[in-house]
Amino acid sequence: MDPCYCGKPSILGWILDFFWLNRFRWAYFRYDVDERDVVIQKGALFRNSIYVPMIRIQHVDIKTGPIISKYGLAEFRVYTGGSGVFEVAYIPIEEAERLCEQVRQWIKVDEDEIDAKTE
Amino acid sequence: MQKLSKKAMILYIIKFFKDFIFPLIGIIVASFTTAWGLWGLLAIVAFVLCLAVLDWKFTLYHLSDTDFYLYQGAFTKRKTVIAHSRIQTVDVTQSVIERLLGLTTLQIETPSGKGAEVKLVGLRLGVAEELKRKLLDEKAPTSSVLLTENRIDDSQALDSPTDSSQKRVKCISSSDLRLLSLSTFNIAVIFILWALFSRLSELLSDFQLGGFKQEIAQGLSQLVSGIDWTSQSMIVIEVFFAILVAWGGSALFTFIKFYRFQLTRLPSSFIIERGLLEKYRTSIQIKKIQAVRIVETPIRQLFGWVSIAVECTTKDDDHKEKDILFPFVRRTNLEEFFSEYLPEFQSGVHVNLSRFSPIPLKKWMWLKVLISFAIAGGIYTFLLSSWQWTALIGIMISMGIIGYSWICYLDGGYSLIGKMLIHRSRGINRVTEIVNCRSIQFKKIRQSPFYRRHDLFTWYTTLLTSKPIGIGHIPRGEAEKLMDL
Repeated sequence: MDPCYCGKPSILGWILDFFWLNRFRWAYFRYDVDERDVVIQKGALFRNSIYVPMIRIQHVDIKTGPIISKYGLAEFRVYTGGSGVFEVAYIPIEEAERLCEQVRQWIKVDEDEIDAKTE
Repeated sequence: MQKLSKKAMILYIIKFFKDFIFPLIGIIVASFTTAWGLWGLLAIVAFVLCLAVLDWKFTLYHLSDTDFYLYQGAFTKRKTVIAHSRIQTVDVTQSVIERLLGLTTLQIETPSGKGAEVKLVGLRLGVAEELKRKLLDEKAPTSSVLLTENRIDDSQALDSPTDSSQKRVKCISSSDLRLLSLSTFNIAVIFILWALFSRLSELLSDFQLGGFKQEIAQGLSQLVSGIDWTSQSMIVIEVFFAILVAWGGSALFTFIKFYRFQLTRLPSSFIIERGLLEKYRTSIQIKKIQAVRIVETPIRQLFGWVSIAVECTTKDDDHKEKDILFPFVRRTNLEEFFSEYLPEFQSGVHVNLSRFSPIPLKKWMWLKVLISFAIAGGIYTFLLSSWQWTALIGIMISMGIIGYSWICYLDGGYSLIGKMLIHRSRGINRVTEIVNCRSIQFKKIRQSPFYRRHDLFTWYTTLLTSKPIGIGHIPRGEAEKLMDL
C-alpha cells in the first residue's frame, strides 16, 4: 500500500540497471501526448501507467545532460501541483522540443477555457 | 506599508535566547570565571538588541487589492508577494508570552508543499484580526460558482451575530471534551515519561515509592508462590503505572489543546478557535479544502466517536492538530454534522465501500508467519533461555500480524460517487477520506510483478498538498474506471 514513486534511485535498481533490466524498461516504455492528458507507460518489473490531465499541469521543461545530449537525446518533464514530476526520458531532442511547445499551447488553451467557464 | 508592533522586539529577543540557550549558558558560566567573559556577555546582549531593532525596522508588510507584500531583512533584502487567490489558510496563534503582551502571530499559507510562506510574529491582536479578515474575504464570493446564491461577505456575516442563516457555530461541550481527553492515548508520552522516570528512579529508589513498590511485589509473591515472581510482578506494576501516567498525560495535553474548541461556518469559510494556554485561531476557505478525513482511533472507534479533519495545507510540526475541523462527533450524528457544516462533502458520508482484492492477504500469509517466527527466534537468541518461548512468542506474533492484516482488509475500501472519491484505510487509526476529484493532480496505475497473474493493479494519486493516496489491489476494470476521473 505504500505509495512509491518513480525517480528515486536505489542501489539495487542501479545494479539491475547495469545488467539487463534496462532492456525490459525500454521495451515497455511508451508515451503519448494529446489534448486531454499526457500518458506515460513505463517500468520493468513494476509496470506503471501515468495519466497527467492537461488542466493540472503547472509547467513543462526539457533537461539534457552532457552524455545524453551527445547522442541528441533529452528528457521532457511535466510538473503538476503537489510536487509531482513526470519525465519522458531519452527521446530525441527535437521531439522533446515539439512536445514542450505543443503542451505549452494546450495548457494555455485550457486555462482560457476555465476562465471563460468561471466568468 | 505597515510595521509590526514595537513589542515584537521583546518577542524577538526571547526567541533568540530560547534558540541559543545552551551556548548562552556556557558564556554566562564563562563570564563568572574569566575577566573577558563579562565583556563577551555584554557584547552579545548589545548584538541581540541591535538585531531585534533591525528586524523590527525592516519588517514591513503591505496589503493591496490583489496581493499581499512582505519586505524583510536589513542586509539581505527579501520581498514576498502572495496573490490573494492563492492563499490557502490564514492562522492567528497566541502563545503564552504573546498573550501577556497582547500580541499575535499571523501565518499565511499557500499550497506549495513547504511550510507557511509568511510568518508575522508580533502583530497587535486587533490588527491581525483585521488583516485576516481582509485577506480572506475580499475575493471570497466573487470567483466561486458554487456559492452564487450567497453573495454576502463573510465579514458581514461575522458582524451580524443575529443573522443565524449566514453563520453557524458549534462548540465542544464540556462533557464531550472530557470524553475526548479520556479517550486519547498517545504512546509517545510513555517514552518521554520513561526517559524522565529513568533519571528520577535513581533518586527515588531511596524514598518511599521504592519501598511501596516492593511491598506490593512481596504481597503478590505471597499470593502466587512459585518461581521468582517478585521481579516479574515489579515489571508488571511498573508497566501498568507507566501506562496510567501516559494516559493521564495525553488526556491533559488533549484537554489543554482542545479547550473551548469552536467551529464557525460562514458562507465560504470556516473559523476554528481553540486552546487554553496557547490561543489558536485559523481560517479555512471551503473552496480550498482538498479532502475531508474522518479519523477513528481504536479506542474511540469502540465507542463510536470520530474526529473530522480537513486536508488543505501541508503538515506543520508545531501544530499537528491544525487540520482538525472538529475533534469529537458521534458517528450517529455524522450525517447531521456534514449536512449542517460541510454540505459540499455530504455525499461521501455513509457509503457502502467496495473492498480491495483479498488475494494479497492470502498470498503472503506464509511470509508473515515466517517473519514473526524469525522475530521470535531473534528474541530467543538474545533474551530468553528456553526454546518453548520461541514457539509461544512466534505463534503469538504471527496471530497478531495475521489478525491485524485481516482487520486492515476488512476496513479497507473505496467508492466513487459522482465527483467524490471515498477511500478508507487503517494504519493504527481508521481513516475515511473523502476527496474531491478536482484536487487530484495525476493518476497512475502500477502493476506489481507478483500480481500480474491475477491482473491486479494499484492506483495512486497526489493531492495539491502533496498528500499521496494509494488505492490498493483492484482488478483491471475498476482501475481503468478510476483512470477516467
